[in-house]
Amino acid sequence: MFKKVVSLIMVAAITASLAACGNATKSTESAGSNGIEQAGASTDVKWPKNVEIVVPAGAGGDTDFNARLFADKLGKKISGVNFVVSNVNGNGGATGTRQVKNAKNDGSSVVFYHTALLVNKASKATDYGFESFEFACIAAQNVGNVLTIRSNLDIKSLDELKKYTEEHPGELKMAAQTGATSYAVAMQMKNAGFNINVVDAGSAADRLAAIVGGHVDLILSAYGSVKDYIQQGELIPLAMDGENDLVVDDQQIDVKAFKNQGFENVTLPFYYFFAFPKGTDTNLVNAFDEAVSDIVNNDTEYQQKIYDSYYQKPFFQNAEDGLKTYSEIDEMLSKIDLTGKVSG
Amino acid sequence: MDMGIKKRTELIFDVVCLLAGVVLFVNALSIDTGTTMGQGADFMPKLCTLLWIVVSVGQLLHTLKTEDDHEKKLDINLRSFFSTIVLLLAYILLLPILGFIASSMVYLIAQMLLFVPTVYRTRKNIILFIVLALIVPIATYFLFVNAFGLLLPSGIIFG
Amino acid sequence: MSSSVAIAGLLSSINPFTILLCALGVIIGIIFGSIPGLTSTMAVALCLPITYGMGALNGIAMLIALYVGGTSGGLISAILLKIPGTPSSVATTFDGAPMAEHGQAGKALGVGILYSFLGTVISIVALIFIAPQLARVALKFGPQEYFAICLFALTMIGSMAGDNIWKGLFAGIMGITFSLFGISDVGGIARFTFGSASMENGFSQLPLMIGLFAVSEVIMIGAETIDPSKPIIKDAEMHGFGVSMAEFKDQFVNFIRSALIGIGIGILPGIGGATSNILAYTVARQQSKHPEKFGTGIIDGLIASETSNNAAIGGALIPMLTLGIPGDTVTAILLGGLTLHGITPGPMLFQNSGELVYGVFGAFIVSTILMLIIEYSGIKVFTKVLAVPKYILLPVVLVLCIVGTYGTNHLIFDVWTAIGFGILGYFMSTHHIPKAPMILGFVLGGIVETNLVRGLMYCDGNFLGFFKSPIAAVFILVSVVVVIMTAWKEFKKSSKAKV
Repeated sequence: MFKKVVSLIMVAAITASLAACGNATKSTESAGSNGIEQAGASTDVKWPKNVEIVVPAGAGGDTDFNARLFADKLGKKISGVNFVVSNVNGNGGATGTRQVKNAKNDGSSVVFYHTALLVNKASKATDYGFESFEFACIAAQNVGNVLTIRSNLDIKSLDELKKYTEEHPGELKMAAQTGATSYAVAMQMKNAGFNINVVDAGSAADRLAAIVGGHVDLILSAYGSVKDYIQQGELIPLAMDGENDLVVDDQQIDVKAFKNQGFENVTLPFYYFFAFPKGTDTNLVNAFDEAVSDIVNNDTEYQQKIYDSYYQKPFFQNAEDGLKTYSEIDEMLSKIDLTGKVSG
Repeated sequence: MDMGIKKRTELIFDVVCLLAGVVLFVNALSIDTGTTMGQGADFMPKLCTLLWIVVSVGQLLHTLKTEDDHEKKLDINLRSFFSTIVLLLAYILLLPILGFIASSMVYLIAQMLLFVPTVYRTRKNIILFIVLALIVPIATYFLFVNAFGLLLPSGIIFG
Repeated sequence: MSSSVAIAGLLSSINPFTILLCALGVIIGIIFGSIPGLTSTMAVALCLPITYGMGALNGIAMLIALYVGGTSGGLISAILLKIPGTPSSVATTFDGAPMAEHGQAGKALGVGILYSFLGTVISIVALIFIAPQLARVALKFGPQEYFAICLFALTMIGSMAGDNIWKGLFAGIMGITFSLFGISDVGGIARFTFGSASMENGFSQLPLMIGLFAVSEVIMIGAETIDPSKPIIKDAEMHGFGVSMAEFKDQFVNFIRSALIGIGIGILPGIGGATSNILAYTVARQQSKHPEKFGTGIIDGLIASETSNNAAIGGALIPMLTLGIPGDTVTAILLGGLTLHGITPGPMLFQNSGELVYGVFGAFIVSTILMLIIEYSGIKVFTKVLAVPKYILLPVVLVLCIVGTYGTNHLIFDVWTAIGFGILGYFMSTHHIPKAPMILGFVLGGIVETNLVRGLMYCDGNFLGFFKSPIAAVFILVSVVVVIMTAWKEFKKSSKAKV
């Protein structure tokens, strides 16, 4: 008798789960949330049933977070299309961007990444830039990474750090991911006179593990990922590597940018973009851009989520402006010496 | 040479392993160092292919020292073995062309007919095979693509 | 943090809707786990979007249930088909499948399910009571230690498995070398691609495993001279969970040790159930009074494998929940899921969201119990699979495997990988080259390279610097000693035989 009941429940559960999953993959509801209007052009565009958003970074980080949020919102916005995120990390992001570069251009693949694509190119990890893709838009702006140092080193400010590295050259270890944004900023710091020993420590999660475990002394990371450690006092924030200071009054956060502390040459604007394989239908890309722009500018739930987690403010630039922004960053990167071994 | 077939195939296999190691080692020699802050991309390949060669030599020597059973017969159904491999290769070749459902149907019926011992090749069973070959691919497709959102190869039949 | 918060949290998970979600998660997880080629990682990734609409607790509860079901489900196909359902159940095939062949399928399943449950329970205890301290200790492991542990695991398994040490080591070397194919993480250079663009991504783990176990099995049937008059073995009677009190007492040390290995490996970010099950099996064999019986169908190896892979779940959750650092791919997705619900795990998670964290623990416990009930009730159904003749079963299983093989990266190349490794796997079987070292070599190859290179960087290129770390030094020395001793033992055996 018991077994019969269990099997009945199982059957019911399986049917219920299939129904639930089935509904999740078909966005039958129109985007009724927050009163957003449907992007008009999407009705005459031939969307594939499944669109894979390739994220060249590990699950759980800031890039992944932004991508998944978009996947959810886009799936609700563009009816009949299922947006799925897949993480393809490795090589500082080169593996993932390369996969989309070589993918079919029928709209079924799109890459969501950031400035690191240009760093990959500048450090010769890849031999292509945005010209190898059908660039869609800049979808978000990261406030920049925060440079944190282990508190037991007793260094509390950027100037103190500089002095220490001048007196003890090559002693402090800074973790970076070869070929990615942390690497570029680390090189900028070296060029600005910080005599640090840059070591490769992989992805954001690996770098966090490295500093908490005491294997390195300095890391760059998203503020959200180290929020708790700073609050507890285990890590001390020294500077932001983005355009602006990070000020969040109600959480007592006030970290100045490098450039506002006298180091104008240590800065790397961090923008997230979407790009399709070259040759993708421009109507599809435009419809996509409209949808993203609508989410970024009008979806208050989206705006709240990106702020709560990583203090991001909504930011959107269409293809033309986005590429212009990136070419300025490309210029900046070409001035840094990124290749070659780094010794202590 | 009165070597049993087992030992002979074993030796051939070991030699093939060794040669594969040499090929890979030669290939590894041409690998660039690449963008790196420490040892380059060529380090592990060279180290591992070298170890590969060393260990396969050890393997070969060990086989040479083992006993020989002097059996001449190979316990293998060669016709069915090669047919299975051909079927598998055909299946994969068909996947991007015909799509998952159609290719799987073809494969299933062919493979089951190949495997079934003559004793069980009854009319009842063949009908069972056809039914299974039709249902399994369709059910799988619907469960995983529609319900769970996975992707399967799509081709000209069934999309 | 007060115990009232903890209790409130635990109780918050005991409500009908959460329990139903956990049941759903466990069932879907078991389906994904038991079909070779589909994994718990896939299940969690696919169901993550569904959880957005639920509250934080319910969302994470379902994901954890998927994880538990998915890891445990692998034993079903491992025992009944000799094909591991997920990489975490590779070692389960070694003794679980022979047990099924000898008519003890029910017992094997019962033991596997029971110890999956027990392994998870122990890891939950560790998670609840000593998580923060354990996590900190684990992070002290740097590249040198990681390299040393991986070297230890590989040499142990290379020397233990198979009938001679050369074959075991060869399998391991093959595995590591194959993991190097493709564009490297270190330096971004194409390696062993032989000019082909599709080789640039290298081989993927799942297609390789499907090839080695499932496709090679199909080819074996093709090569077999099946004797149609041989009866299909009927299942023997099974009482209770399939393990008697005496057996339970006998296996207690094995069980605890395997659980600890699982938790330890799970805590180390980057290594998880796929490694711990093979390692636990090998250690159990090494420590056993009757190592020669391993592989013939005894419960020791089965217990080691299934205890450790489930214990690794709790292990992987520890650094994720206490430090915000994921222990493996599934917990990385869970981390993303929590962030999407507005919770950023870190050292202050217990303080800021204590009730939620304990709610998650509660859901974890609920899922584990549900897994036990659901899988156990299904044993009779599962064993019916054995009644299906191989000439029908294997082709159907192969078609199902295509789903997982293609499903990871949507590349036909992966399916070709499976066939290629299937042929290789067939020859490995006929020439008695063990598969476990190859799988482990492939899984750990990338980690070995990354940490060797990184470790050397930290020591300014001097390998001797590795020995400055006591843990690393110990593991490296033990590895060398194990290889030398096993080679010596074999040399003595063969020279004795000559006399």
